[in-house]
Amino acid sequence: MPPPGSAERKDRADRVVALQVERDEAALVEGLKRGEAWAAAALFDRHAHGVERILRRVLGYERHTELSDLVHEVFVQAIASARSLREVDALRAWLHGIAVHTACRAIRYRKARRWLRFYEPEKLPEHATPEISEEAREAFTHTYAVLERMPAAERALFTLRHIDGMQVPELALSMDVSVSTIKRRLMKAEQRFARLARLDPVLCEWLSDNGRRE
Amino acid sequence: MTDQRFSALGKVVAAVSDRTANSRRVVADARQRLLERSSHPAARFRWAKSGLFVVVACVAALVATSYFQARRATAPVTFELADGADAAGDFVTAPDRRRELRFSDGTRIELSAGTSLRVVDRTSHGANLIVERGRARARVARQAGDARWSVGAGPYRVRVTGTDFEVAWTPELGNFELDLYEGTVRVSGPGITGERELRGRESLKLVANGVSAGQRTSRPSVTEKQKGAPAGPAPSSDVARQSREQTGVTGSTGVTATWRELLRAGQTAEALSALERAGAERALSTARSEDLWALADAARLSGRPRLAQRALIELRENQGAAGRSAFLLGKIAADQLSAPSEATRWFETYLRESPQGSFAEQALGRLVELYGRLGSPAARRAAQRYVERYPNGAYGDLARRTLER
Repeated sequence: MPPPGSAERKDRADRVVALQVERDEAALVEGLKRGEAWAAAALFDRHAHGVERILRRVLGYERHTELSDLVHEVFVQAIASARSLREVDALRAWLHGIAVHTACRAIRYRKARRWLRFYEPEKLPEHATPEISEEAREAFTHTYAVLERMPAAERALFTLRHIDGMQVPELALSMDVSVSTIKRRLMKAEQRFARLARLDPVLCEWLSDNGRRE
Repeated sequence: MTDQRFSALGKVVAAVSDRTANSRRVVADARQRLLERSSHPAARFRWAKSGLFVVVACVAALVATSYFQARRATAPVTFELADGADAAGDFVTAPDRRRELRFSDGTRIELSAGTSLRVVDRTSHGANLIVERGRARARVARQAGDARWSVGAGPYRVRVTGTDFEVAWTPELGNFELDLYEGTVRVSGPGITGERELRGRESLKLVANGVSAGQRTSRPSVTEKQKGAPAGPAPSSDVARQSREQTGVTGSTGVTATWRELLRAGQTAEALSALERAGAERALSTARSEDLWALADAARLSGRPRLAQRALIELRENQGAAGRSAFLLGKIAADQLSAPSEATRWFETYLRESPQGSFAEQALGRLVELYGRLGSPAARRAAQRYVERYPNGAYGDLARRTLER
């Protein structure tokens, strides 16, 4: 046994007291509120892929550098505002809400600076991906072309519901509004998408009664 | 166009999105940047903004502090009576009950019944007080090294810079007494050559009126003082050293003895202060088991959870105190340190060490509560164990609710 008062003994006592153990969602949120580095890393590791998927669904085509900027931005915001999170159970929805807002802001920003661009990202030439049929690729391109003409909030709602497959209650939680409000907004978004899609021959075929099925 | 058609189209679009995405690289890039946030341009800008704010705040605080210090530097300290009565000028008496003077710098002077005191020469750094008769306890607030207080009693004068002491003066007999509780004072007067310094917990008794019999004692313990057993008299110049030698009170060991005895005398705050002055780490490592238990309880109950934790760890590590120590460590972590995960580990440790212990029911109940708070699946297991062992226990309802969820 090391002598009393020795540095080794003190270190050992410190190790006993620290007892950093399970890092579940509650501990994670507490850690975030205290500004602990491990909590930021753990939050990212647990939720980064979900956040990336939401951003990608809402934005459609996006060069990976821009998408990575946005993923980073979502987590910076989340870590900075962790104190505002009231319920541990709401962590995932809260984070997804930040992702949706970030995506909408990116859309608005991109539209605002569009006149400066010589091309639009959606029209960039694609590299060939053999396992994707031409038909599916076409549906993808035309869907985002229509979505591009919709307001950012409606676009986000439509993509999360119909492309990501998110359920209405989850959408309501992420956007921090009631289920009835989400339903009303979703209906409006669907009507707008349908109206615009009628003008697009590819989507018109997909959405018609005799249209294609996957 | 129905909801199903939107969803069918959406599935195709999602599949294309997933196949063409480079998610792993996107996430890896973002992760790297997040963990090196300070080097990111946007983050740097934010840090720069925060830095600017801090600098502005510091400058404002500095200006405000200088302003208030400048004002304070010129204004003499003021005082009022704690009972709200008006002082008759600078002369205060406490004919039949205690009275307290509160000075603007935080200094407190408590007069015992039958004491008369005069406040003279108030300055921005302190005041000169004269105890004309009776006993006064002075708790002089520590200022930034320039507190200048003095207390006169008959022909004696006590100079202080920030300390806690009691002065008594009986003019008829010429008896002067000084009990020092904390800090350092310098005393001058008949029977003393120049000034004599007192430190720590020392007492001084002198008789004036031509009689130069001085008595200076170190007070080894409160209990001895309470029993009225002062250390023996000695020539005034060497009294302190001799007294320390006689009582074995030297260096840090002496201070350690003091915290134990203060604790046994029920003077918790004084005991904890004495312990910290002695150096808690060293004092704990040499303390006996019963002292460590008493210290852990005292520290825990007086809002010093870290100290209590150290005492309990010491008991576990070097005195082999399993069981109860783990339970108390769990309680401290849960109730005083807001560390539920750590608390669960201690309660589990207690149940492992003392499965039939007298705190087993409580420990298991706390586990149900804490695991539930953490959202851990272990809450159900703990609740199941609790209901089986203590169906009518205090945490029974909580355990059953946990199982129903």
